[in-house]
Amino acid sequence: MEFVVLAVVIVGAVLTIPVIAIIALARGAETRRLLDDATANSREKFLDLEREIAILRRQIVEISARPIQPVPTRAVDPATALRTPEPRAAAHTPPPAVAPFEAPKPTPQPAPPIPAQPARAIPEQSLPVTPPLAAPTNTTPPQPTVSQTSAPPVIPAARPEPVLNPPLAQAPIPPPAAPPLHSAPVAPGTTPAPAAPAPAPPPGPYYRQIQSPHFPAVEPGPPRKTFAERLRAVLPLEEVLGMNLFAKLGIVLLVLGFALLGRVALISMGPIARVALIYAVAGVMLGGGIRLEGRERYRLVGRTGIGGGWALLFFTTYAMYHVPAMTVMRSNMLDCMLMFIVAVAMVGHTLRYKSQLVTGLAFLLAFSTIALSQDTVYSLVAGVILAIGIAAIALRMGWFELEVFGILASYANHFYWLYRLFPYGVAGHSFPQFWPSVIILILYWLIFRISYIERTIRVPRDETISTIAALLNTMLLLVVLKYQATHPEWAFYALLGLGALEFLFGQLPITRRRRAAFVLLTVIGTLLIFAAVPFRFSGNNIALFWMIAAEVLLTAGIVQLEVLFRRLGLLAGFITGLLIIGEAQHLVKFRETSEAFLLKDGALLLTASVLFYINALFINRKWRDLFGDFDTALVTGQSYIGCITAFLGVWGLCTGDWTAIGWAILMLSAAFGVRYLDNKHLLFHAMALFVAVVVRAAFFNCDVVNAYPHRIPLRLATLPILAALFYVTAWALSCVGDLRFAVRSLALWAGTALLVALAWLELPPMFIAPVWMALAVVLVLVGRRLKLSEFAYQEHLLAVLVAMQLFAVNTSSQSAVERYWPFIGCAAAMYAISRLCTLKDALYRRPAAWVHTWAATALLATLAWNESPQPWLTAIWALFAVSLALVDRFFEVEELPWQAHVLALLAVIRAVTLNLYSLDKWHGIDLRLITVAILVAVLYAMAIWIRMPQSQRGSEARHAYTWAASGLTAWLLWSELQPIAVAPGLAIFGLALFEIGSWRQLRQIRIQGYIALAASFARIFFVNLTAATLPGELLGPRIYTVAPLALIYFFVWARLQSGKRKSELERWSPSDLIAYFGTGSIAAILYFQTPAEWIVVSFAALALVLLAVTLLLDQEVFHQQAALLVGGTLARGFAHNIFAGSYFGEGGWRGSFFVLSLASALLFAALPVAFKLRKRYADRTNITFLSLYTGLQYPEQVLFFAPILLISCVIAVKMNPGMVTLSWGVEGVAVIVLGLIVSQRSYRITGLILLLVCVAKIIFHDAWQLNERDRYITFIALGAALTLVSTLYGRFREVVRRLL
Amino acid sequence: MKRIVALISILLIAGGSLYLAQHRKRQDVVSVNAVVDAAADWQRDVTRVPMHLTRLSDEQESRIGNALTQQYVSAEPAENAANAAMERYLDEVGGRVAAHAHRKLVFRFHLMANAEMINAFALPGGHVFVGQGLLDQMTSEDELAFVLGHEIEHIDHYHAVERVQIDAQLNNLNLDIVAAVAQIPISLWQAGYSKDEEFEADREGLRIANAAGYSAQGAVNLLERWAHLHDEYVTHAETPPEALSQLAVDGLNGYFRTHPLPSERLAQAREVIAQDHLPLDNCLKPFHVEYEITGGEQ
Repeated sequence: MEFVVLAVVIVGAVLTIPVIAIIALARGAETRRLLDDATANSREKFLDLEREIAILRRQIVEISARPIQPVPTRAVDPATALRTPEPRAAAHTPPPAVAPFEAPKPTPQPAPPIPAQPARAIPEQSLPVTPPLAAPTNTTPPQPTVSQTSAPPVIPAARPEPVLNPPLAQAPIPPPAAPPLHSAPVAPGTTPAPAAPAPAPPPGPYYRQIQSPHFPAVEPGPPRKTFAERLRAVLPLEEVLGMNLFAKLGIVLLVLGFALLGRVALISMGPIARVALIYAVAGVMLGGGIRLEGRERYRLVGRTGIGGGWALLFFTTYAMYHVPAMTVMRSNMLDCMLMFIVAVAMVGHTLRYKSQLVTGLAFLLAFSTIALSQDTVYSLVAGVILAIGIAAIALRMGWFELEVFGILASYANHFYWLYRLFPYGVAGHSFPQFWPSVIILILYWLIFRISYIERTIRVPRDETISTIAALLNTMLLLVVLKYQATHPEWAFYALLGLGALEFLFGQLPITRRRRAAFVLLTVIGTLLIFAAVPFRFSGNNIALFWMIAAEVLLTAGIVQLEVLFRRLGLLAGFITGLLIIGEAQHLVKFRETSEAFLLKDGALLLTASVLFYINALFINRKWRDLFGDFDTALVTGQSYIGCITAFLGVWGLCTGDWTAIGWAILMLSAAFGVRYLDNKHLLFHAMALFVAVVVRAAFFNCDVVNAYPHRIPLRLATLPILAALFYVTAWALSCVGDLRFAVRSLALWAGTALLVALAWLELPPMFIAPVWMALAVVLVLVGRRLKLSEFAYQEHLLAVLVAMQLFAVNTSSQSAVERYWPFIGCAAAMYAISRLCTLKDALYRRPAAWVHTWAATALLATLAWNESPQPWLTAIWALFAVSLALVDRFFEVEELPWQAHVLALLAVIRAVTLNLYSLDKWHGIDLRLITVAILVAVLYAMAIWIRMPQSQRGSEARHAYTWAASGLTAWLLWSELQPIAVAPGLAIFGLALFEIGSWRQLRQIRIQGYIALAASFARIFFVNLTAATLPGELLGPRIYTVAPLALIYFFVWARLQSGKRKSELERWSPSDLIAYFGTGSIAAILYFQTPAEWIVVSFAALALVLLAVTLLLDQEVFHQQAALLVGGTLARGFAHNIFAGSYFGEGGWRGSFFVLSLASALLFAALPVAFKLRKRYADRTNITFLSLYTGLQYPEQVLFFAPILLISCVIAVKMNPGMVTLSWGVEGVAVIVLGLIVSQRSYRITGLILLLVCVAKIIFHDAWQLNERDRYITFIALGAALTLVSTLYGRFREVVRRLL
Repeated sequence: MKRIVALISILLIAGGSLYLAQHRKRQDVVSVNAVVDAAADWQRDVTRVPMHLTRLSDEQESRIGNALTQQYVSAEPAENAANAAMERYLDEVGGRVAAHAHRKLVFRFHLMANAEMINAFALPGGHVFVGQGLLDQMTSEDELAFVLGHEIEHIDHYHAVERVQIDAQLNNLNLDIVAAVAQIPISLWQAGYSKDEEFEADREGLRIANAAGYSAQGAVNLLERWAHLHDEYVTHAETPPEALSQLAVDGLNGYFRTHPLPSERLAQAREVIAQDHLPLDNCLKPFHVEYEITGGEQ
């Protein structure tokens, strides 16, 4: 029985689709005709407007070029102006919507045979407000007109003009100069133009009306909006949210709620009563919506009501058979028919409003209600009906977005039904609803595919939306079919069949009229056919089938000159190549363990390589005209695939040490290809193969990994061969100026590298460095003779390698001969070739010579490092550096100062890394003290004696030595003093440096003093602040070691301030940091010395003191510190005293209330000072940014809001809950009174906000706490409130604004 | 001239400070405790804000504590007569001390008969566990009263239940479900609390133990013993690099360490004693060893 019903429904649906399609075609053709006419009309108007704009621009240029004449202005009553339009203004007056269709179609040529026509034609266009007058004149001449009588009342083409014109219509309108019907367009103040068309202006109905426009003077920009204005500007957003979104959500929830009501609630009510009830509700919603839709203010609510009503109506009809609790009929067929009728009525009625909102909402809710209630597969027939409806609407109205939604909803609905049956997928199990489900899915796909093919595209966006719909249709079909797959082996046939159908659809003539549809369906079909193959075949067979298909497509594309087929063929070939490469992975894995000969695989891969190279190098050249950029890219990609397959093929055929030789031959072949075919991609192939050869030679032929070389004879043979092949490749690529030059250089480097590696592998370690040095000498000499710069570079690298070899190997030799002579010999060789190590005309000849001498010096320094006693090496190097500096001072050898710098640096590093930690004694004296003191003295001396480079002689670069000396001194202080005494020591040292720097006017010394002071400040956080007071100590160590530091900081800061001008004092200076050190020290003492609960009070007191100091000294820095301390007070009060203090804190004078009240009182006590500061700094414009951000210009706000926040919060947390509201109220009143007293608006507003918070707390907290059961009631009430809010926003929005 | 006088004055003051510091009898430890303690304090303060706003009721806390205790006690070995007698002794001393707590919870005291467990901890709702190893270190009932007072105050001041709140928030547990409560590991409470909370428990525990009639000397003796033991393991840096490395290690340890240093706890105890004028009576109540022998039967 169910199958019969389903069959009937399907037949009905199949019969309905053509009917709907025919109707849609008929209506669509009519609409198209109207649209074409309207488009032509609009186009002409657009051209006219363009001409008008051009004239206006020209006139602007002309007017701006001559002096502006005064324009007589006259007060014009707007009503009069609108009532009595005159020709000139009429061009800018928006005509009614039907005006363009009532007027004759404007002709581009003037009409000279009828003299009256120009004058008459203009009012016909420009007098939209007087159609009765225009009508008689329009009847006389038989002019071509569009069929305006049959046009719908609203035509999109008629809308642009009213939209575009209002700004022009706002221009001043002069009084009418003549009756509109009998006067030519004459500008006031100018000579009336003759009726005949003037020769100068271009033809058109508008240009005459704008011959002499008036341009209003440029108005000043809009004034800056106040906060209230901005608030009012924001309010419309709330209107949008409240009236728009809430209304929609309300309707959605209402419909879904009634759907659930019918399904599960009201158990005592019978099915008939339920159906009647929900029908009644639907009727009310529908009727109410229709009634409200007519009123502009409630139009949105009305339309959503209509959509919701129809959705509820459809659901109820559906539920009469499919929802058990609402079943009132036994015939599924009858119910389907009723649903169909409802759907048709829904479509017809909602389309009356031409609103996607109404129609979309109806369908959305219909789908949703069905999803909530579907029980059998046959209930999904309702979805088919809705899909047909949506497709019909999409074709009829061109709302293709709606169809996308329909596709999503249809398949999602179906998937949801499947998901409820099989939450984890069907997974191959058979189920009885399989075939009905398949049929319904195919119907979905067919409906939306036919819609896609049939549609007419009006704008490009429609095609984009349609493409998305078409893709979604196929993708979702495949997804749902996959989910319900019971026979995975059918996937091949399903994909093949679906692909064939898509491909065939794409070749239909009706499809080919739209290129996008043809391309999309062809591509989808091809993809599905290709995707079907792996479901039945595997391995190379897939590649075989794909390759055949690719070649067929490529051939078809060349024969039929169809680029789509060619590209698909090329893409398929490319993918097939990737597949072949993927399949060749077993060759790579095989080579990991074996070097056996693989003839079959190698031959196959080489054959494929040849094929790909033929495609890339032959076909592309022969039919070059058919291949665009994209095709060429694909062909090029195939050439790379050919390179890879060749590489793999050679790997299969050549084994062991000869693999590198085979790849090198390929590389050489590619290089010759580059040379003779001039193909740049072959150069890339050669480069890739070059890398492969290098890697292979390094890791296999050279046995870098294998510790036991087994193929010495082969290595002795293959490495020279490879070197020779590299050199020949370099010759083949010899060309200057492009990438080949780089590859040639790399080949030369590779050849030499193989020779170097051969020496390294076969010679005893102690002789490697000398041999390399000899090879370097040979290379540089050959390079100078052949003028090959690469050989010179290779010599440089070899010299580096020689040095490394010496350091790494020869220094550890037990034999003095092997330790000294290689060093000395190589150093001598470097000195010898230092002036011959480059080409004669090389630009870097001098630096290269320097590097060689430096290397020699480094070798000698290293030798000294090896032989001298360790603790004294620092002093030796330092003295050596001084010696070099003195020698240079007398003989001016320019390299020596640099070497002195380096030696001094090494000495410092040596001291830092060794001497500073030495605890040894020398004749009872601390060795650390002696050696570091010598170094410090040398460094200060070198700062005076060293000869700096010419470019640095005027700078302070020599102070690097003083920095090092001061740093070492500080380190000595740290090492020698007790931990708690380090901070005072550093502070005294910093003070000394500061004074010396000031006395000798040495800025760097002063900076070193600042650093020492900063270090002393940092040091207190590591020892001094945590030092415990010992029994018997009258004054705690925290105080007597930190407080003097604060004195030093303030003294230095005061000294820095003394020489400044007033303008400098008003700028932020880094020296202010020292003042921060001083205050920070005091604040730190307070933090660590005061009990935790009282820190907040101490901070507040310090802030008060600092504000007073600010007032006395007029120094912004102390205000900044005060503001930061206020912030600290606030944060500390919040975090510790309010939330983190003891839950059972003490009352009385040690309780939270008292402590925070005291802190707040201290802050309030600073208010008078703050008001004086505000008066001082309010008008000062050059305050620092830090002062700006710490509220220097409004300190009274900072000092007011901080305690207010503290008090409010402590009331909320610590007060009895029942008293909180009252306390806040009292506080609010007090704040308002304070605001009134001091005339501060912000204070008063704060009080008002506090009172508002009280009200909100009563409503949202207290009331809820009193009644638990009100939660459910609240939920309902919340919904009603939302609706009420959305209505009130529309009804009383002006009142709300006034309240705000 | 003024500048020179001021400079000389400051140099004299700073030099005096340097002299005093250099010749101080105690070598102070270089550490980042100042910064770390401040950071830890702030972190604790900040994390207590949400705890404060999501406070559990006493009934919820008791229910959770009972569930946790049931889970833990069932895993302990069966009691014998001596252990039962010791538990009664703990109940007697603990009940005397707990009578002075702020919250009127039902406090119960459990013995963990493990000689290697030198620890005590408290669970939410009023359950206090004391290890046998810790009891073995005690020489007077006053010391036991201080330890029990310390643990009682962890419960009393919501330290224990805040662990539940934090763990419930971190692991998204529904505390109305017993199975969810059982997921919370006991080690959360065995690991101890933040330094601030430990100080607070010390301070308040000392006070309620004293209010229960026990001498503050017990606390002093116990803390002095621990401080002495701790000092044996402390090393001082000899060079700046050692100080730097010690800074890094101590900094991390200091931030994550739970109990404060015994010397700090001892200093606070002395401070509380002086502040509250608590009598330091050397006549301490003896630890009732006979409970272990006779089972409490006189």
